[in-house]
Amino acid sequence: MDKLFYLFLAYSIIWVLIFGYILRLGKKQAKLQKELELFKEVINSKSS
Amino acid sequence: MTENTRTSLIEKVLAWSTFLTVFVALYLALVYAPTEKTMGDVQRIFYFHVASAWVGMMAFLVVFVASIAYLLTRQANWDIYAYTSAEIGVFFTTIVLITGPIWAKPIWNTWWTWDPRLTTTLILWFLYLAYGKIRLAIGEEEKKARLAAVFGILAFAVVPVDFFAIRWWRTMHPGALVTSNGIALAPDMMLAFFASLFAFTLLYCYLMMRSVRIERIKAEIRLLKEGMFN
Repeated sequence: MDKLFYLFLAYSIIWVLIFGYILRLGKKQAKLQKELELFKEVINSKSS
Repeated sequence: MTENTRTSLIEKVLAWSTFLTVFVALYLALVYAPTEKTMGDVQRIFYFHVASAWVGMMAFLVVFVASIAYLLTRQANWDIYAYTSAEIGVFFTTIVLITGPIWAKPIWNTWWTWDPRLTTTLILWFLYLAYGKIRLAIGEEEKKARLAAVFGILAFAVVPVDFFAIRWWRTMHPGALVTSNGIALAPDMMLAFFASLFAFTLLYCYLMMRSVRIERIKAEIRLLKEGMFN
């Protein structure tokens, strides 16, 4: 197989993994932030 | 300016500088750097393969330092730094273990060989995977942090073995870049190499910042839950 194919394969995998990882962090953070807001709301409504 | 706004601003600045630096490093690695005479274009894998290995080892060094700091101070922040750095270290070592065989196949005519450098890198990867598994297996927060810190310190013993494997043993893996005669790279290649190192170091800082933030939100939720149910 052409050496350029291996170069393309390696770089594609690197960037797919990196973007996937960043996306996963973003989704996780958004979900937790939502959960945190919800908890704060419940606590506020209980105390008022 | 509140703490949250300041963190968000730093995170944005870091994200943009990482993006720009990575873009420049990609240009230098794929276009600017000359083609290596023996291996041809496939050698360009080297720039981000080595940068990933560098970040992986640096991340494990952070685990080691943060683990010692945790055992000395028992402050939860150090445990968070150790844990998030271990996860990022495993991520970058995974990149090393994937790109290495892709580079090896056209050059060595095999995807994998039980060469000292390859084997020690694989052991390192398994060790830090085990570090994550230990954390998942223990429920009690304080015990989890304490045992993980001890494991994080002991596991670091393999990092120098991995780093020096190409100096200590006869290996198929390319030799050390830094020798007594200086850096064994042409000046144009050296520029691309340092740019990729710098870009991935910034990427590590960015990922650390995001992961630490996530862990802090988790801790805050845990505290609120405890307050609600106790």
